[in-house]
Amino acid sequence: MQWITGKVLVLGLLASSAMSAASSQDPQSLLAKMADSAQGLSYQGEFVYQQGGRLETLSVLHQAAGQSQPESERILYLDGAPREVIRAGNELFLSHHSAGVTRLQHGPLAPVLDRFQSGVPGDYYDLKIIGIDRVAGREAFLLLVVPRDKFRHGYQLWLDRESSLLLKSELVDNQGRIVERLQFTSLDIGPLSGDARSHLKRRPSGVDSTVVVNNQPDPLQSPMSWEAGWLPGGFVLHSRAVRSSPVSEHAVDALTFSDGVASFTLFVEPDETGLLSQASERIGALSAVAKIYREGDQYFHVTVMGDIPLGTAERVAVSVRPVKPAS
Amino acid sequence: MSEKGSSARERLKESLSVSLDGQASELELRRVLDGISTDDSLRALAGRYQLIGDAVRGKSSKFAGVDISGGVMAAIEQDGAAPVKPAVTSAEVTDHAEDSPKGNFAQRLWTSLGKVAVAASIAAAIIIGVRTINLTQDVPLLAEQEPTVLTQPVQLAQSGLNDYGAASILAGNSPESRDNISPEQLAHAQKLANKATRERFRAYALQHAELSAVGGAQSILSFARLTSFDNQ
Repeated sequence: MQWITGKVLVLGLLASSAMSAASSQDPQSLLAKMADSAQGLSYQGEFVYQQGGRLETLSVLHQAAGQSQPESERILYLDGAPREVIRAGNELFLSHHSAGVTRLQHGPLAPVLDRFQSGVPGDYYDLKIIGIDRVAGREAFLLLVVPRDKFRHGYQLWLDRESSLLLKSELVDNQGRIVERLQFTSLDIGPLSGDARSHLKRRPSGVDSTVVVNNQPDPLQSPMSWEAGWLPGGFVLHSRAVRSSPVSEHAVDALTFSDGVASFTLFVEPDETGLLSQASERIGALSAVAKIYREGDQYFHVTVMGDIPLGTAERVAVSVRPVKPAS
Repeated sequence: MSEKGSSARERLKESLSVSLDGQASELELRRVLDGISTDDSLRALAGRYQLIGDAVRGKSSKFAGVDISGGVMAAIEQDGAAPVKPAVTSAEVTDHAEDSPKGNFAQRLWTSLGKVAVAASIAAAIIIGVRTINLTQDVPLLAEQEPTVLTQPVQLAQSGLNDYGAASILAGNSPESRDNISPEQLAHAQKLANKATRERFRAYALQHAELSAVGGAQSILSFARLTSFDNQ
């Protein structure tokens, strides 16, 4: 593939000692370590996110879970209108200049399956460490994640040699085009300063809308539960929740699936307006597909959203069906 | 069939599969519809493509069986569709959805529908459009072009019958139901439907980011992706 050959340049820079360090690493365990580090380490840094004609600068503060505080994270959008995401324990706040403050609140979030134990990425991706590069002043393993089928995207991941933290990521579509790029420009790993910790403790003063999430939906409360009739290989249910709809009073079923690298969420919401729309969009690296499902006189909005190809999202969306009660 | 004719048919078949994937341009869609209306085997093929979704979902056939030829053509030409049931008779409420926070957006949507739902009919719902927007660009092309927005206003109406799709075409194709809705009302309905979809996509994207951040290594990536919505 074209996007691999570009990396030959990188290989040219390698010292032989670095090369042997790279070859002694098992790509699969490196991926697992990346997930552990992202949660289990404290760090702060700035990164750029490039997609389409846009380049955005963001900053992140991440505090690992400790004895007295839950894992918490603040992501600040540094360009344009001020926006901020604060994620702490069971709450998430998104402050946005025009939409106000949205709060997501949920019970203890125990994923149905741990992300990197769930799928076996090696079965659906070719994983290969092709060398060592430098990102944000740090040495990084360059890991190629090449899909074995057309149902998922490819990734190039730069993982910190010391900690396995993700330093840079490129998402590559099936034509070898880079769809998005994320890259740290500075990163400090280690305990946060008191200043940074106080930022993490701050909460927005007012909340405009709250979405309460129920992670253990009561099957008697929810009139219908849903399933995907077709899933691309390797994707397994990662979490399941019922939450209130963004545009109505109804409950929405949300099912998140992951193959260990990519993930998508399936939302099903009863319609009450009688005005239905089907849509199929690529919003940056995200594919979003809206379909309509009909059961008798009741219509449902079926939405699939995630970093998967549009075709995969379409196919999942049309396969959605209610789970027939075992009677 | 002449050699020229058959290769044109091949192209048409390709376009057909593209149009059923919702990726066709309006011109392409028009070409397919022209082709289908004069070619029985293409019409059958269109039916089969639609049935692929059916096969995928097992026995349930809620999405299947759309005859896309006559009805869609009529819908494009007449800019018409079957009216929805008159859920709200008041047509006085104006649409302030642009200015106010989402709140009970659905309620306002519902009320605004009064403008559209003027005529009594058996129709239970109106299904607006196959909307395809592609805001994705490769990074290397950054400087060369603005994001392209491709909208396909194909109106399919929905009747109260059981067969999803096929029935809707019938409804869209019947002259009496077409007369009951004006192009302005339809455009208004289209606008509302698109707004509702966009609203849903944006809210769902945040929820997806949050859900996939749990136990994931790419939490910063999930949230960075939300910036793509600011393009819209």
